[in-house]
Amino acid sequence: MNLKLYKRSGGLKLFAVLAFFMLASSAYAQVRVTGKVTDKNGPLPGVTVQIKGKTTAGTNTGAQGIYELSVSDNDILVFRMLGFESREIPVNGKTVIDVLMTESQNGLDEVIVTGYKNIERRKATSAISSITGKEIENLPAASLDVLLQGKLSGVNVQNFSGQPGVKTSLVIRGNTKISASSDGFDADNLYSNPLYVIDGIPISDDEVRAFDQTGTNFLASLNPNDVESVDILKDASAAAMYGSRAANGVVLVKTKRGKIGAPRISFNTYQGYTQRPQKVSTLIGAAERRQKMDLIYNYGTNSQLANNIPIMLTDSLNPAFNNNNDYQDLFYQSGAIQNYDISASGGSEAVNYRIGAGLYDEKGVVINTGYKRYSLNSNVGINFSKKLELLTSIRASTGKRLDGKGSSYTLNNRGSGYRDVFSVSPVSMPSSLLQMSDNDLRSVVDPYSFQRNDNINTDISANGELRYSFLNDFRLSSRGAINYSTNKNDYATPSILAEDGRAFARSNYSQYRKYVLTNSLLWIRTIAEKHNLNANFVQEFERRKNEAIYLSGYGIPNDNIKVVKGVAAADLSGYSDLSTYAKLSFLGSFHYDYADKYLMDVVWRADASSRFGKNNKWGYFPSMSLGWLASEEEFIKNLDWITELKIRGSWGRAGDESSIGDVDRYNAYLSGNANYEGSDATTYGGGTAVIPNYNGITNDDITWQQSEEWNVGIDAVLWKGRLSGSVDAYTRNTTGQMLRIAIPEYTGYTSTFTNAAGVRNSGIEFTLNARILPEKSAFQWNPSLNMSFNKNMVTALPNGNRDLYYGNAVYVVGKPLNMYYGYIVDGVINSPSDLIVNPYTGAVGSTKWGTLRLGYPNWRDVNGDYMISDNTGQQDQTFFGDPNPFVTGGFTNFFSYKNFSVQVLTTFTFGRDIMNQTLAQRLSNGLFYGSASDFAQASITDISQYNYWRQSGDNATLPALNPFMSLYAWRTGQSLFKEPGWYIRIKNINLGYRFEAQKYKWMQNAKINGLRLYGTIDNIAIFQKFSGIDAERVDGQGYDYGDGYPLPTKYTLGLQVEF
Amino acid sequence: MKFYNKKYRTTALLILLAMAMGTVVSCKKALENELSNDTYADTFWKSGSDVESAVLGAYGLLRKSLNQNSCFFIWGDVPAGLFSSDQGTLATDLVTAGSFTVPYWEEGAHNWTNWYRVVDASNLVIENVNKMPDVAFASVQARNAYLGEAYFLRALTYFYMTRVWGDLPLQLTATTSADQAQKMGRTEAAEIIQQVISDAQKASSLMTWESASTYQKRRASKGAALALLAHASAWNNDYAKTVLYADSVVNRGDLFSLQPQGAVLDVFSQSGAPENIFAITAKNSENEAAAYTDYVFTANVAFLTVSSEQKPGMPYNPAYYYIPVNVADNLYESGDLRKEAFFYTSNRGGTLAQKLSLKKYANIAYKNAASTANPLAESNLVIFRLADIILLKAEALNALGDDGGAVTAANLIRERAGTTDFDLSVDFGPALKRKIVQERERELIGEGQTYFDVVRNALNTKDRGFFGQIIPLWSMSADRFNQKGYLWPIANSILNANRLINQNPWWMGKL
Repeated sequence: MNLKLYKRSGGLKLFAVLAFFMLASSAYAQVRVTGKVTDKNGPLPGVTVQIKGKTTAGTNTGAQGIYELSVSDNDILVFRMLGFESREIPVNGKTVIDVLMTESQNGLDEVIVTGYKNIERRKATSAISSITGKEIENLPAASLDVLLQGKLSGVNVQNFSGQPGVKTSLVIRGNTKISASSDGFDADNLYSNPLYVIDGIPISDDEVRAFDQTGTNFLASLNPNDVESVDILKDASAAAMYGSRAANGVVLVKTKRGKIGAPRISFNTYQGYTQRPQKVSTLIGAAERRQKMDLIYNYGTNSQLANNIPIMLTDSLNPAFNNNNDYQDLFYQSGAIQNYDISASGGSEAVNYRIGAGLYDEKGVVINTGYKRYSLNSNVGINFSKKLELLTSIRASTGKRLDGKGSSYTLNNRGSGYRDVFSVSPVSMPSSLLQMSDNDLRSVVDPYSFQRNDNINTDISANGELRYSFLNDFRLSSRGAINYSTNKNDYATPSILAEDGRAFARSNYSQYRKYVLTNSLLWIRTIAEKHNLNANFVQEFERRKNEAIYLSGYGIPNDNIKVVKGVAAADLSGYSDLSTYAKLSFLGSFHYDYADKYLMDVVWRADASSRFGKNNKWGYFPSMSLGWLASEEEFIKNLDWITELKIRGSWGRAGDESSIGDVDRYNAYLSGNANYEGSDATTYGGGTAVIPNYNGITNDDITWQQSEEWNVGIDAVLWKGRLSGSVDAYTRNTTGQMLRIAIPEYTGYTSTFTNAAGVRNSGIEFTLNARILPEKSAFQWNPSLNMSFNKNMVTALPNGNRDLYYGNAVYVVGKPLNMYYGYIVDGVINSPSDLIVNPYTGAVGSTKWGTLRLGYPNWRDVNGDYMISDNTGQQDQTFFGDPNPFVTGGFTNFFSYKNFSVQVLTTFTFGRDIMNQTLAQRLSNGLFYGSASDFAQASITDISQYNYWRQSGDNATLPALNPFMSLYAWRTGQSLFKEPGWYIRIKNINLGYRFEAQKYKWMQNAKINGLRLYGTIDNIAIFQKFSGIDAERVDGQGYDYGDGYPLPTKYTLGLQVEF
Repeated sequence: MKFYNKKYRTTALLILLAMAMGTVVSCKKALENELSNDTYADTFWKSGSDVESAVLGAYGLLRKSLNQNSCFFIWGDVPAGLFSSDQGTLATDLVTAGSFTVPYWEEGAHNWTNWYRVVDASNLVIENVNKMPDVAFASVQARNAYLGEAYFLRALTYFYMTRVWGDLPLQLTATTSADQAQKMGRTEAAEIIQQVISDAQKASSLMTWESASTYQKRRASKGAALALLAHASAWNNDYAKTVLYADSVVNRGDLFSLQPQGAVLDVFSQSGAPENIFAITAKNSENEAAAYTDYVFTANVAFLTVSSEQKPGMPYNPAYYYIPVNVADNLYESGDLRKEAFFYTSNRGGTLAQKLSLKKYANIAYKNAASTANPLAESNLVIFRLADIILLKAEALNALGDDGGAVTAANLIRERAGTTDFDLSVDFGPALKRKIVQERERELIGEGQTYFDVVRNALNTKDRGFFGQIIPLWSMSADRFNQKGYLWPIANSILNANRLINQNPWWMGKL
């Protein structure tokens, strides 16, 4: 167990106590106190009982809630247990003290355990939001991040994909990422990622992304039911302890540990059903044919009607063209979900343990997708003596993810990310009229009976920490952690599915090994009763090695072989890869408070990273924060309604190194590189070719990205906990984002990395918790609301703040991140008066493809040249909209009546624009080149619900759906498709009923201590103005994913038994 | 308090010291984190084989530059008006209107970045070989050969670029860190061509004749350097030198001789063919052949010029760029064997038979020999061959007033083609010049030469009328000619990144 290292009572008394303890411990009158600790359900084992101010002396309650302790007469006993309000009771001569514990409002422990030191929540001077594992347990999701949605202020989780086991987005206090990866712009990966610290081992997204083979979320290796608490370090003063990787916040995860008491065995399972998702609108069979013919007749000119009606539409008797395939039907299915957890925990004064094992199995709603994980978590603590303590934890898991077939099955590349799970994309389906052969159908629907596609992640991490307390005030601790992860993708596709008739197989394997060594020295002291001091000095070294092997071959001799074997040398290709990382850090932190009232924290950290150029190896990260516990002042103590009130402020600087790879700083040469268009040649004339890597040239000065953050906040507990909450306001300036800047191309290079860009995030966030009814009431209603307002803005860009265009996103100084870039459309040209006319010549304006006409989108002529074009000098595309949410948050309502409980979580996002890309693509399907045969071959959505332009005189809101008009009229990059992106989602409802062992004989006979039945509905309903399916399912740029993985509704029923 | 303080301090310091010493020493090296999955500037350039692979890398980059959007073909052949296309105005505007904006081909046709990579790779070889000791190489001769190849590649690259874009930024040093990248403007074309000539002369003196046979002419030799010098001198309107350099190649009959009648196309399948002087190879047997990119604009020239009837699996029939039969009839006199040898006529008759496709790039392999689904183009890109040099010599002799010598030289090629000799009594003076250029057109069609032949002669004679004489489909207006409209435009991305680089005058505002 954690030693409580803060001494809270007056210093002089403590000093005296200590002195006597050493010199004449028997001189003081010692009495033995016993008692029984219960909660409303009965005896409570495992409650920590300590003497206030004397953290080394203490015990825990046993199986029947009984404790016994030697105390002095004037001591105060402190009873603590996770999930309960702690109680303080003065001894005052009593020898029997029975205690009733009440469940705490937020169930939070009083101490935040960071990797380096513990922070007493009451005395924390920085912005930290926390939840307990209880709030996220037994919800049907594979990973922890997904479950944090709407739970914590300042944390914005957008689940843009419902695919089991993949990462979505978790952003703390606003996005800071401007894409700079060498792969270029990736709309699926446009979020800044926090640093995760799981049981003291730091893991950042960028380190697992290197050489990743499976695309599985690394957090999916952790069973969410093993989590005891999650603390989010939001401001720089807290995060500065993690220095160079903390600029985007830190997520501290602590797994459950054993408590003193008799062994407890707990078994938990839930089983669920996942609803088949809603389909993208499309017309099938005859309806499709009718609607297409209608459009052709409506828009076609005489000659087009005479010569250009596709046979496919007219020849309805041809078996090749008279089908009615519903492709989405082939892919969507109802899913299933299963979870089993079993754990054993217990402990004595000398040893405590918790060992948990879990199985999670989710079958996705898209065919051939799913995730299955086996996990084991073992936390054991040994107290060799009062002074020497060993804490260990071991976590192991292996997970297999099925990622669908994807559209690129003949290629040796994985398809593009989150969208590519369908063989036939729902937004660009072919016509339902086309015939599919049995083999086509089987290979699409049932690829895994032909193909092998295994994505397997295995993670093992272990850490041990030895703590030695000496000279009363000091503790020396030394921790070693190792992390070993592998991920592996094996893929094989038979010759019958290959265009060139050659079977293909691939085997890719990656391995990460990491160790972290941390030594720390802690000093705690109270001087003259009122001066509480503690200081911590840490030295840490981290080293990581990523290795990978890639092997692939064409022309596997037999379709039965699902590995790379028997391939001719010329068709075999492969290589192995290696990168390493090392970091050396020194950390000093200092806390001082005067009489528990005036609080101050100072943290200073120095990091040297192997990623950076020789001129800038070291980075320094200072922070300082102040707090005033106003409720300790006499004049507030007199106010009845204020229980606790704290005002705090902080400043600090943290770093980020994710935008540069492990070895980017080297001027690498590419070995075996002589490729040219159409060829991956590694040689010229048969001899190995080596060329410099012209993707970018090195820069010795590159250094950390830094964020400087100010934060002020208030924490308050009012009316003895009936109402509590906190408000924080912050501004965070992130500078030195690493971006590519252009250098003259006659050097052979076109770009170099430099610390050039900056983003500012500022906002206000608050949390409110209330207990509406008095404690004694049998019916309880506890609502809690959190909201985070954030505004982000680009403050600096490379090349002299020149606007930065990336695909269809744009960055402009003074504007938010990832604005849309495209044409502004003011409705449709419904009447001749809407046409742009050059007043000097009288000529009607035109596009690149001809004169503007009725029925075209009414594009705005931004540069006033009577020409709608994206050519240089005629550019009419401009930036508009903002995909960054202004407000996100969650609203939780917890109701309980006797043994019933209901919890309803609602999450919301407001104040952003999204682009209805699905609509654009559905309407433009087949219209792109204005070719009637393209139009015939593409599927069509039910357009009768839209007001599109059909003939002159119409007052339409959407342009003409003319199959002969090739105007790119339906491209997504137009304000035409911009829609409000707000949504309110009833995220989940939890119902539970607890059977009390005292009431049921059979439970006692079966030695069951606790039994709980529960049910959950996840993703119940969404309220939105967006006309598409799901306003949450959008990429980082705000383009919705009609071809992405749906967020399905899940129903589960569960059972939890404790022995 | 004081008593403890001191004790605390000593203990704490000792512990800290021990902790710090232990790890600082061991992790100093780890923090340097040496790159081990690639070689890099500091560790390379140690041995002859390092240089060998760097030189081959430069050849690879040259192959990439030539193949990017098949630019050598788009520059050298398409504007000359011989080819035609059924694939819409994107394909035909260049043919019929001399429109060099070529949408979708710009990356190759307007952007010189790839070519500057060849320059940088050559600069690296030149700088580093000069720093390396002789003992790193098998022999001094080997060392000189590498240097010679690097000079040759740099010269050839600048020669291509200056013919296309005129004035160029002159980069003669390698760039090894970002701060060396300084902005500079363009150097006059006249200076660039001097640089080409001086580099090629260095190359010629550093390389041997024998390397032509050692490397099967897929790498540079003294002969290649001299062929380049002949071309560069002609471009520089120094025809006397052209004759000199051409002769020194022609005289090495042991290394370079004309293919026998009927075997001319061997130069595309065998780099070591007697007639080749320097060719870029892409052999399927060496895994270097090009597959179809599923996008015609980035496809290898074979996928543009060879029809699917000619070679199964090709994307077009008729070919994307074909020769209309009447153009061929006009160009080749009856009896000219080349019409049969260079072009394929459809068996299917009708309009297809009116559209001939080129045979020069029809060396096609298949990924899976059993099926023909994935064709791989493996023809050589012939940079210099003897027929080219002989006809260039003829052009030079004509320009120098030696029409007799010119006719003799040109007739070597005409005789092999089985057609009638030039007759000095009718073919002389400017008419002969035109006929020689047309002879080059007939012989070298599809090899990226014709348009540059026209520009060279128009510039040397200061007569824009030459365009109209050879290219009947579009004319070079006086305005366009004066504003250097015969040059190609420079990509906007290059202009945007560097204000010191200006667009070629005719193309200002036209992209």
